[in-house]
Amino acid sequence: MSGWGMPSGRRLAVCLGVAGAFVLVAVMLGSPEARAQGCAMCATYLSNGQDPRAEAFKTSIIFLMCMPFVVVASAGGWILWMHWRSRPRRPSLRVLRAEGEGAS
Amino acid sequence: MADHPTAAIHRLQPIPIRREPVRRSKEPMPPAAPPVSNARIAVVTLLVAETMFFSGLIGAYLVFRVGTPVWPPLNLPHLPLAVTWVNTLVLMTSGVTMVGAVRAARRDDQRALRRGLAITALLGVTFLAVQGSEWLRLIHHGLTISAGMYGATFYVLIGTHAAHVLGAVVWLTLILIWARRGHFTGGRDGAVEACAIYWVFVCALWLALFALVYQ
Repeated sequence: MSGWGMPSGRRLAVCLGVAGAFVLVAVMLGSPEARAQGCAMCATYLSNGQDPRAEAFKTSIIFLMCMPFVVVASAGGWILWMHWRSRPRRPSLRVLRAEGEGAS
Repeated sequence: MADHPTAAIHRLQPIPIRREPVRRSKEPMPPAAPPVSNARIAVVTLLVAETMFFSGLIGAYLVFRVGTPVWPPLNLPHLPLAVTWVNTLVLMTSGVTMVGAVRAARRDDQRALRRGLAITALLGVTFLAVQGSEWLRLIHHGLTISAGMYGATFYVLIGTHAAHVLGAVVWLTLILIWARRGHFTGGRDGAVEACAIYWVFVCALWLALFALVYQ
């Protein structure tokens, strides 16, 4: 337990989640022209006019770009959650107080 | 009258000291159970690979669908929506019965486990049968795999999912046979859970494909 008052594994998961969300928002909010610069074929289509195939390629590329992050984050988050749930828990302060009152 | 100065010491109660039990045996300590079982990690790894495989197929489908001005093409039949809605309901119900079977296995209720597995397998077979009959009708109306990108992407995407449902039904049938032989008594329900995770994945995947392909 250190830092923000949470276990290091959980802190890592939170950091990864925030970073992933930031990347996703940056990709989604970027202009089509800016996004197309990452793909030579999309940039060519965009410069040649409104070809529906450009939109199709962009949609597919963004989908395929996001999926590995989504999949790894989901699977890793599930394993971390299972790990966190199964750890031995210390009794809370309320339980300790109740036990102390019962003993006295 | 005041007590003797040592009386307070005599009134003190001894503090109980909790001692760890002394291990007499020389055998090594049994290893603690891992928080996530190996079977679960194996199934999750398989599902990650499956998800990426279907992502590739969906990516290809998006290229053809979004890039085509008229979808579906005018000379080809529309997909049967009403029957597929009912079929979706059948598959979702099978997911619910599968979860019920896992809960029955956890509380060691063998009868409910066998019943849940049997109903789930039956619903899965029903889903496949309805899909097959609809495919026959579509082929009869001219929507074949060689009828253009519309037919090719439809049969590849939905056919791959149907193959996965078929594999899940075979797996479920094996689990049902083992459950009838009493293999999952006394908390040994790891195989049932692994099969259930895969089945729920197949159901969730169908929801995504149904929303994508049939709408």
